[in-house]
Amino acid sequence: MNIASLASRLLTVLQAHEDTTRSAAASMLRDRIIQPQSYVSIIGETSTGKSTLINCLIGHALIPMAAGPSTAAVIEIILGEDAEEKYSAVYRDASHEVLHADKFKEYALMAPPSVQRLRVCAHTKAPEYKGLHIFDTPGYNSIAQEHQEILERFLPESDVIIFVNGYKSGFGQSDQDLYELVHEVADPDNSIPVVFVINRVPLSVYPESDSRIKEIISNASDSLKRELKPLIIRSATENAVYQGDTNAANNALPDASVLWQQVSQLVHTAERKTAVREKLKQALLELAENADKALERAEQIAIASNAELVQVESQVATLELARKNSLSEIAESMTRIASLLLKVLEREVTDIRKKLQNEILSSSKWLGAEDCAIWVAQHALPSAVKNIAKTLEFTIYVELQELNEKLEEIANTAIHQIESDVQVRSDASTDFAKSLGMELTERLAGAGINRLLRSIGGVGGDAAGMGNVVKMLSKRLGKLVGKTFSREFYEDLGRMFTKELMEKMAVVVAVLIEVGIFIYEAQTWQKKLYNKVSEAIDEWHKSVNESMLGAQLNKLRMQNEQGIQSIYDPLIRELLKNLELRRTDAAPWQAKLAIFRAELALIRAEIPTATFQE
Amino acid sequence: MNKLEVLLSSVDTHTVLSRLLGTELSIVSERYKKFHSRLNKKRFVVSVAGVQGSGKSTMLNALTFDDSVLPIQADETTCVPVEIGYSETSSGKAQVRYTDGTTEQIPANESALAIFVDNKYNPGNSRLVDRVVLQSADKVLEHGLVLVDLPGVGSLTESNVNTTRKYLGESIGVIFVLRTVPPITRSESIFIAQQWVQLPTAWFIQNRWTDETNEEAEAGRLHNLKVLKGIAENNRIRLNGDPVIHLVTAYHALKGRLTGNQEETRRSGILDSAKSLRDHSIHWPQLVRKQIHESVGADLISCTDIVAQRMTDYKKDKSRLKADIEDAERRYAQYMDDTQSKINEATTIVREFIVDQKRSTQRWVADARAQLRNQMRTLVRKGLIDGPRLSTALQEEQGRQGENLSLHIQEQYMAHCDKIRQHIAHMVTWQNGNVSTIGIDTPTRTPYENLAKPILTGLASIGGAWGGLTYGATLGSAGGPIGLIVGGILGALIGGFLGWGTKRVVASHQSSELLPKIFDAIDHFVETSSTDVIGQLEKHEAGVKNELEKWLHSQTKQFQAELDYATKTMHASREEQEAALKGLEADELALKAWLSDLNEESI
Repeated sequence: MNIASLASRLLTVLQAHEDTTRSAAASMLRDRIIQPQSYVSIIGETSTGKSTLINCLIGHALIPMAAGPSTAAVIEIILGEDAEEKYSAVYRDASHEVLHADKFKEYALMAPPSVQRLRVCAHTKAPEYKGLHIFDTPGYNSIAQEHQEILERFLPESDVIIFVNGYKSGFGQSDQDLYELVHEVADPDNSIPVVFVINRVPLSVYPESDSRIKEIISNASDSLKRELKPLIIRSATENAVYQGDTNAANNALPDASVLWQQVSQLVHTAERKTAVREKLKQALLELAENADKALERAEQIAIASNAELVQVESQVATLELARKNSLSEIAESMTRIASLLLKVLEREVTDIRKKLQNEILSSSKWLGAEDCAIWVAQHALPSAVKNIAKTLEFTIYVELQELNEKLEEIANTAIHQIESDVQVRSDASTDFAKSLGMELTERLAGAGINRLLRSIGGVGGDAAGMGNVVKMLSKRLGKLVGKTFSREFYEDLGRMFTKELMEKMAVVVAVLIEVGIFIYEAQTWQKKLYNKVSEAIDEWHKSVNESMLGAQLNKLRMQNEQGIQSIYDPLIRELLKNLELRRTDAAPWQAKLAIFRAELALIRAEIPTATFQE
Repeated sequence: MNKLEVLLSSVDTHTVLSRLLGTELSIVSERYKKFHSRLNKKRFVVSVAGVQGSGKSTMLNALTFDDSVLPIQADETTCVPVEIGYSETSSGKAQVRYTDGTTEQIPANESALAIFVDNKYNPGNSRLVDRVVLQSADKVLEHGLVLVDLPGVGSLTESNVNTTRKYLGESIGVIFVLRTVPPITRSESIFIAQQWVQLPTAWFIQNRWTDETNEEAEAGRLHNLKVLKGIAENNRIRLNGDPVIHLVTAYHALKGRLTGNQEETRRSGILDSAKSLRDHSIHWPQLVRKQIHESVGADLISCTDIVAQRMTDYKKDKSRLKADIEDAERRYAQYMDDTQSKINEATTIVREFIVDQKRSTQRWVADARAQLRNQMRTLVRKGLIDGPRLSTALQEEQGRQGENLSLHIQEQYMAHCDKIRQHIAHMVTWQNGNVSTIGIDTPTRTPYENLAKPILTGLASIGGAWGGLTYGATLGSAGGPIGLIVGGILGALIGGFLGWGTKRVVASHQSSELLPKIFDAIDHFVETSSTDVIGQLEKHEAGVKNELEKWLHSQTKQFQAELDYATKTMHASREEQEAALKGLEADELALKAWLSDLNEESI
């Protein structure tokens, strides 16, 4: 049997059962089976020629090649069979809008803030590029500030990341910042294949011996924490310019075929193909099994005695109570964390102020006002901020560990109560309670199909279901509930806080350096510098307080609440819906369920031996 | 003299035990002599741990002295172990013991001591001091409590790491001095976990400086409590309720004591801690007595079993005996197979751990190098080209990177030790054809179990056939193979990370020449650090292997002794048989009498 048609049959059953979440999962799996997708992201500072490289693949200037620096949008190019190019905008609220070519070009240069990304469906004749999604990303400032979601959700699920560095601009601080950011946020364990392009290399340069290329490689390798071998793309305009052909120079596309061939090889490796198929098959089977369990529970409700129905109602009450208690624990915990963080930050800020005062006042009056300013701005302050970040992280960690234990206890108590507190002694109701308890346990552990269901069930927003399917299905879900406090979590937490604190510091530091350059009077500069530093610290303190108590804590709270909701809500919904159906039209419903389950049994039996169509 | 003491010093008893167990008399006598001296030696070492600025020295002064004796320097750390024991009359002198065995008397006061214990005057323990011994007449020490102020992890040097380890090995409890602001940090929590696992009897004293508000004190206490509960949870340390944190204002405690202001002393909160320590120390001699009593009882019962077994053997006909021997050999072969495969599993666990950690260390080398190079590039790009400042920046960043590695490995190491403990706890010893689990390492660690270790270490080191005697809850405890294998590693990592290979870069003012020099220094740092860590890991692997082999060897020896005796029994002539039976009957009587003596002295 063909696996795609099994997926379609599963989808049909789930739709007939009006199970929207599982239907969405089945539909996504089916699409992936029919048309495998690959996700490639292109990273690089502005004017390194990223868009040009994409245009080379398309064969004409699809994307404007002179994108402005900080306002540019993320553009997703989907390669498929349709001859006509289609443009659309994806908004932050997950809605879509079809765009005209002109509008698209306008947005590509300067998109309104409500646009999350632009999308182009383009044509390709080459079968190896079909199903390829290419994400053209803007440079450092824009991606760090405007495109958090891209960084955190799309990039980590890329199949390949292309880094582009321009030969002429070399590898500067903003390149380093960008590469380090992407490495830290998207791929800290170097699990995604990387292609490193040095673009627009003049024909006269010998890559093997060129010192600039060596420097670029060394700095890029250090930034991505991996050994890089560059792909050299030659400048296309040189000949045309030499011959004075302005038109040709403006429209010349370099030969980037070697790049795309390499990308194609990386996304089409045999191992990846096997892994993707294996995962898809396994996910489909798990989904079918999970759906069957839900149907079985529905059947049990359909034929339940009145006493058993009362039992189910009390189980719903247990789940609702657990949910309510969990949410109030989270709320309490977040309030406590907020007040703790304020205090800890206050204390730490007092400390660094004292330290920096010493540092500035004890440095020699007669030399180096400027040196001292640079030292404070570039090292002493950022270094102090890193230490503060560590302290804050540990404070949050300790509190969350406690919260985690409480949430686990609530869930375990609920499971225990559901499983042991069976008033009606019948095999059916015992089985039902067990099945419910099991489902809850699996959701708590966040394993397997529950991750997929969760990401589809609204948490993921528009990014849900995008990206590398192998990574998506094998990643652990249980971040905040269940066995969660792994190193992985701790490091995530660390990244989140340190990054935020450092960014805020970078803003105030920029002001400080300017100050350093203008204070020369030997007698007074120390005091002046200290006053400026002190102001900078105040400003930083204020903005960190705001962002910590605002966005950061909110994110933490939301993650936790969503975790809790994804555990309890679907179960509560399922039970309530089934109780309702049982009361309104039990008999036809029961008959339908029997048909669904029979069909599911067939599907489940066939999945293990099903084949993929070549 | 009490019956227990009589038994311990009776040559008759030693002789009979030695004969029955097939162990040299000198070994048995030595073991009992040790027990005997332990009974009378009222010495209970409790180590005191605390990070810089925790107020550890102030706290110790306030606990034990009427003058400020221990140097109080917030910024510096103690660089040699300082032992404070009891003496009815204070001599006003301190004894400095050097690593070469020589000693020196110095006045027991802050300035005289500072020269030896303060890192500032004795940097890196360049004076080669092994320890400093002080005496106090304070009631808290009256019952044999000995407090040892150990050098902080950061100030361990080759010349004091062994003494420190020895003290830790001798310790039966630990006092952690915690800070209020900041409360326990991540690295501190790992340090506490490592010690607490080894020494479940722990006191937590949170010092509060006089400028810290009530609110801060309470917030700090709550945080500390949560961290401690987390540590206990993760490391299976059994608690009766929440861990107790004594909140003490060390400064007031000391001031109150120096000025004789009892009200101030009382309000400082130190009296609770002192009372708790004293109460424990009153209790300890009894516990020690109980454990030695139980060990001797176990020895005697074990010998009684052997006698009974042998008497039955002598009464059996030869063919039956032969069959029994063959059966025992078969069972032993099976036992050996099982044990060997368990040991192999344990070795595999260790191997995998080492491979993993080596891999992450190597990854750290690459990552830290890249990270440091980029950080330095950034500084130079931004215009920081002042050599000394760059050096300082580099050293700070190196410290951060070093800490990452060290915390990572230590956390992994804790989890690994727990795994090994669980594994070994399910291994069994061979004794007289019977097998019993060697591990007491039940899922939880209880306070007091650590008492057994310093008291009974003699036992474990005797090894050989005595291995077969280590049954029963007390003897099998930390004194048994588990204590040796895992406990023996204690400190493998303390003392590690000493020489973070930092190297100052003397840099010129030209940035083009600057970076290559800085990069060299970075290479040096990451390479020496990883060599250091990998060395520690390899030492751990070799240590575990060695202990397991030694233990296996002792099992073989035990079986061989049993086999020899059985063979002798089989080939004995009628006269020999009768003589042997007569001897065994005499032994049986003697053992019975000793056991009843022992039971009379029930504790």
